[in-house]
Amino acid sequence: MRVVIAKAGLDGHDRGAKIIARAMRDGGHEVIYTGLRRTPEQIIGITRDEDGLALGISTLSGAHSRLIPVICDLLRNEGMHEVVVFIGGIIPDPDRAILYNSGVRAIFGPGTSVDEPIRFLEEIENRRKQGLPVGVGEGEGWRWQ
Amino acid sequence: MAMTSLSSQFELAKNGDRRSLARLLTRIENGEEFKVDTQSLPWVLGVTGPPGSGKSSLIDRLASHWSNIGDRVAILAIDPSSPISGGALLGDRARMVHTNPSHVYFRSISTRGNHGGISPGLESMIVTLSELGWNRIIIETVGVGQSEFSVISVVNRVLLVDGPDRGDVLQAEKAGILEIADLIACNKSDLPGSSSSMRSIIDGLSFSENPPPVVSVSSLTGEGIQELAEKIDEVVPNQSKNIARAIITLESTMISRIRKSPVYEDVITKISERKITTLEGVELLEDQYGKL
Repeated sequence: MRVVIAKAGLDGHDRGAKIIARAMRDGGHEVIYTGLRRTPEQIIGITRDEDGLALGISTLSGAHSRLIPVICDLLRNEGMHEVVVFIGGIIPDPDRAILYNSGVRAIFGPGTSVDEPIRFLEEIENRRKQGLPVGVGEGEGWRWQ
Repeated sequence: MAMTSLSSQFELAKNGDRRSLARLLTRIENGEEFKVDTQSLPWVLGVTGPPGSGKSSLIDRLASHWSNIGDRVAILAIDPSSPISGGALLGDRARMVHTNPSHVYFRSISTRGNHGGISPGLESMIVTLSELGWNRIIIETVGVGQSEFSVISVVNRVLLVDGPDRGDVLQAEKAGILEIADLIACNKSDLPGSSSSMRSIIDGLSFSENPPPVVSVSSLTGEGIQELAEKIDEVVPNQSKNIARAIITLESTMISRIRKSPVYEDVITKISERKITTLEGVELLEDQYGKL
């Protein structure tokens, strides 16, 4: 799968993003890393131009509740409904519902083992084959637990 | 989702739909046949050089320069795939900071296990982009190595990037890259030691019959970019370079063929264990492929 790993906003810590990117490469995926400090519009443009089917956003700055829903809305506005959005970083429990409600399918916090995001991508592929919703604009209801 | 035909996707892309363009390229990359009637030869610049010489950053500067004067620039950046998993980490676009992504199309490409560093659909992707009006297509190669040059076969101008903290020109000379380069950028002119590095590149070329121009540039400050862009436009594709490129293309394609041979690993093991000599190993491969 072509996966875009993005760092959004004013957040310079990308060790986690790079580890996940490498793990996904080792899981057989083609991973495109955006580099630091991308705006939501840039992230959408990159996902579109690279034909990414999954978009992982790493965020450690605390701006997730503001940035992530904007990104999800933009994806839907651009008609990119099938793109799967997942998050990595520090997301406090009370904020998680906001992100899930905006279309995020998985949140990987500190302590996540590196193979979990890979199993998540496998599950995405399985669900897609069965025609079940996974994308940001394909309806609510399912999320990775 | 119903599969749209390639030609209708092409039409949508022609009307400026970047999503359709990206989809179309994915399908070509995945091996779907797509032929467009070409009216003209695409303008394709290959950028090569050792890892860390600043290829991506220099491409960022050049692309931004050209798109500012109204050109439509498409960049295809090739990175190697992992030989074990087949996956790839494509990080070249992280260096794109000056280009305006709404005017420049950037696409990361994995070699997908092809030793020559060329993705099978690359040529078709280039023609498609060119037909869609992208008048400057830049290919960023994997880096300098021995069998990563098949990519040269799909470009018609070659820029070699080197820099003061590298001193890899000698390496480049050994691999025969200097002969295929139309021009050389000595990058990182902002760093100390850049002028002596310029000199050593020029000295290294003094025995060449037709030495390529050497331009001192800095991707960091933007110094020399204008001159480099002008020099690139002065390049006239020529036959002696074409021959040098054909040799490299042919040889690297042969090497990747041999590596894919079912007896290849067996032969390597036997040679390493000194059960057979290298020449006997070659004969075993020839049994498979005919005399080389």
